[in-house]
Amino acid sequence: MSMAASTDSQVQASAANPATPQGAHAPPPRRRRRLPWAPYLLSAPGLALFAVLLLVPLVMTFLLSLNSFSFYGGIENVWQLGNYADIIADSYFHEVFLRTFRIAAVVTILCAVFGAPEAYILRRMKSPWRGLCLLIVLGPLLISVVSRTLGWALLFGSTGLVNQGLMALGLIATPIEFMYTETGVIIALTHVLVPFMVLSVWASLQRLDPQVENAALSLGAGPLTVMRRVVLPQIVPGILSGSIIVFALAASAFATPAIIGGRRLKVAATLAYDEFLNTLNWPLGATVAVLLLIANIVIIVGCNRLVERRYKQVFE
Amino acid sequence: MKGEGDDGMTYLVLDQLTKRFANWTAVDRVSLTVEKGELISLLGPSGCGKTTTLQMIAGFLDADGGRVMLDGQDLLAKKPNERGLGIVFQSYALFPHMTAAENVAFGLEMRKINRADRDRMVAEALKLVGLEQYGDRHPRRMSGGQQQRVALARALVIKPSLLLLDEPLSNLDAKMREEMQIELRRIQRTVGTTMILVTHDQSEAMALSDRVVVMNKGRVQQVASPQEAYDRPANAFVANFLGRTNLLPGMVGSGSGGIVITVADSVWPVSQPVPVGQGALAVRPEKIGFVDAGGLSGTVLARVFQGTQWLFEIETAAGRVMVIRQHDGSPLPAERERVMIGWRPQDMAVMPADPEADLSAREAA
Repeated sequence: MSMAASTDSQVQASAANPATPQGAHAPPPRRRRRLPWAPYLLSAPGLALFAVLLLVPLVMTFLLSLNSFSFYGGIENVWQLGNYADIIADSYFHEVFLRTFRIAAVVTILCAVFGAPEAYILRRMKSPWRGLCLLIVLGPLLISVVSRTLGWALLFGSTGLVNQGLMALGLIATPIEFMYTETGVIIALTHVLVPFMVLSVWASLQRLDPQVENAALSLGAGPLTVMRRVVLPQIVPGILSGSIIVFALAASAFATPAIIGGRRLKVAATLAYDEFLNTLNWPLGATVAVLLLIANIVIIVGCNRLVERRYKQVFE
Repeated sequence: MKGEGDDGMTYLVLDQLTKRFANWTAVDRVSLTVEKGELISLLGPSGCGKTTTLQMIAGFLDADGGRVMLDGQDLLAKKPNERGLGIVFQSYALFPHMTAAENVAFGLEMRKINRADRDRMVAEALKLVGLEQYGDRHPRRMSGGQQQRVALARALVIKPSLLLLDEPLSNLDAKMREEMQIELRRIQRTVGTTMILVTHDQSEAMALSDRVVVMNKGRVQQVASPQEAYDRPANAFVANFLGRTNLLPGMVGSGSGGIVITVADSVWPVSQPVPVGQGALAVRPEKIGFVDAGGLSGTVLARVFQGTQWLFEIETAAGRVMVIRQHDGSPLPAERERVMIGWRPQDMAVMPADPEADLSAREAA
């Protein structure tokens, strides 16, 4: 508001001063008044959206996690840490959290192992094939999570295509259990999340000077040494940011573990969901959600620090 | 072409080297011999095939025909990482995650040279390029000129049999470029490595090279020392590409005392073997003087004072001619004055008329 007003006054000032012959061409004398709060004002809508849609629900979830719950009394408006104590004391919850982060870690590693070379190969492809292969890689993101996961369920069943194929080839005698196992969840999550790794490695490959590889070759390095000593260290930032995205999404994934993992193989997200909607123990569900968030942040920030210190030069 | 393959000094031979892309021939039967310790420039406009030639020597592109022999060995049969060549890239292509010293050491590491020798050689190489203080700096924290020097040290430290430089100075500002030209020449004298320099900058090629290879449209136009190529260009393209020149159409015929070329109202004796018929005469602006008789007559269109020299534009029956005269106090014609211009026959080059080259000459004028 006041910014607009000041611009107006400038326009008026220059209009009211037609004495100079080149008045029409010369820019009005710039009285640049510093508006220190202008950036905040401009980002206010975004910040407001952020606060209302993210901060407020988070704070409310946290407050909810402090309430207590009883089957006959419902939610009681008291402030205590009983829910946290329950979760920390109960080995059932330990198992669920451990499983969640084990799945997330394995998915992240698999995504890095498949995604980084995939991005590198994609970059070296020729024009028509590159677009096509990129589309195939990004494909999973274009399909609804539910239908994609149900598709996996069809493939994974004991009479599903994968098992029938493997048995027809004579590689296995009895069907492998994919459904309701961690293996199944890990395969499905990796498939869904690999595009995030490919995209973020792709972005860091764009900044790589293609001549650098030739330079290493000319100095006598074999192709594998070029990869290990020259290309890999330079795409570490891409792998790291991809890993953060993949890990966070894998640890908080809901639909895939819910369908492939089922009710038996619970992860933190499905656990919180069940506490909210089945047991109706909202405070406990909120506690699970808060703990998941905290653990996620701790793990991601910790790993980030570690890798950044190791590859300090690349991140500057 | 200096066909000096017999004296035992021939080191690098390009024989009919060819590279075809989908719809054009980037390098067309390029042949060249380079002697040991020579610095030779591949010079030409962009798209003339000079970089493609270099890439084939380096092994980053496969040749479609021809041979490259280095010291008696077939280079094209080897993989790029087995050729043992030093390469300085236009973008420098330093490893950004390594310090200057680590960059230089990389090639030595690949050669499995032990730590102590490696450190000593890296220090020597950095000293050679004047960067002994900067070993533990990362490329990102160095200026363009310093990065250039690191790239040079990295390529030289492996004692390459051949050093290829791809537009090495084009990313530097004018002052830096001059400094690096002198530096490069000094280093070349010190280490005596055979070098091939690719450049589009004729002054850079002139300043640095023992011989220049002028290329256009994938073909070699002339191989000669810089002075020779400048004074006696083989064809209109070379004449135009190397500095300013006057290209005058004429008729080559046999006169009483041998072959002559007739340009408008003047006749000049020709010492080079040139086929009789349509021809062209190239003469540098600074080689033309005002004469009393026996020259080409014309009118002064304009004269411009440039401090140390005067620039004249003369309208003649053969076209406009550029003349440069030193500002040394001698009397010079005024504008719109009738004059006669002339030059020594040894200062001109005569070549057969080339319709294509003629066109590009007119574009350049």
